[in-house]
Amino acid sequence: MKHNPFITNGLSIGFGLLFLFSLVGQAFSGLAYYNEQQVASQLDEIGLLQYVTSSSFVVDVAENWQSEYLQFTLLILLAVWLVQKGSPESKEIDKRGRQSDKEQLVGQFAKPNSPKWAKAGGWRTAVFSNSLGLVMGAIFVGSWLVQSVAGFSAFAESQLANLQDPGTWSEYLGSPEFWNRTLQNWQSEFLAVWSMVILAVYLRQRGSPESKAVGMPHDKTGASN
Amino acid sequence: MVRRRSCTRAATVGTAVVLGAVALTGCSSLNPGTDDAAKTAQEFHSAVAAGDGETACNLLAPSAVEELEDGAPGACSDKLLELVIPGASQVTDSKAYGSNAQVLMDQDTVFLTRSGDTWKVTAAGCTPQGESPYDCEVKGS
Repeated sequence: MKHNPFITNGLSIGFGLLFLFSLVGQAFSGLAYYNEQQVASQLDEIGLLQYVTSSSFVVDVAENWQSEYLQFTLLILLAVWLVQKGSPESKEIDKRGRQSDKEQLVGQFAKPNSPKWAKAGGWRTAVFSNSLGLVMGAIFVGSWLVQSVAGFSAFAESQLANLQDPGTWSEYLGSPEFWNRTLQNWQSEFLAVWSMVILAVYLRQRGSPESKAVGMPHDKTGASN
Repeated sequence: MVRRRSCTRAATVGTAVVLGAVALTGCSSLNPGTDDAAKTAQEFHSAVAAGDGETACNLLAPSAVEELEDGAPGACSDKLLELVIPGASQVTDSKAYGSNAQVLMDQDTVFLTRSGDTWKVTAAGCTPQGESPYDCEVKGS
């Protein structure tokens, strides 16, 4: 049965729109806040383009991106080996590890409709077998790098406003400011994953693939709706 | 199957473009207009050295003028020329981050802030105090 593509892509479209609305909202509210400070200092207000290319906007965006991508990268990778009895976020206890080629449908065990690189063998299958973690991890590293550069620029700007030397990027990487910005995001992401893994053992959300079926026993691991 | 491959590639390229754009915008704001800031610092010192308080005051940020006048509007020029601001003419280094800049000169360190398309001096006649803020003869609040 053929479905409307807006239905078959509803989850990605929905979150894509939520992301765009939030980012635009962040840009406008951040600009308003920035200009309030400019007016208080009797300085000219700035425009939207100038604000969204400023280090203060970029660092705010990047520090949230890096922590979100770190969260999902770690969940993807650690859940290969770590399990949680009763959680729909976990594999079954006996499936810990990378599993056999037969279980993963790679190489000679690939199906006719398996992705080409799953059948190819060699480096292609090795890369494709880790592509989700690699890409998510690369986005994390890239976002963290952008955070460090834009964060240094924003920090240096506030140092200059306070009549202090701006310092250097390498000094900033070891500064309390950088690690405070980083860790305050990490702790919230790790708490959210931890809560999800544990709460989903005992609680249900009817119809959601993030939950077990309502009547599923608490100790049933790796089951989704 | 073809569609899945092209989607994966598109997603990877898209991600790279977004990250590149973010990196570029972050970097583009690192050192905007250091030359202009240095020029303004030099003009300020030239005006002070020439006894042209009015021109020097026009180059100050509003908060620095207010601090200098201390409740006596119009007194900026006279009060500025009474201060002991070390003479400086050569720029040795200049750094600008966002809307603030620091210009290191042969005998002085000048701090500036961007207002519209121009730089305004927020502090001059500054001596370093280690980790603490510079001690400045002229400074905005």
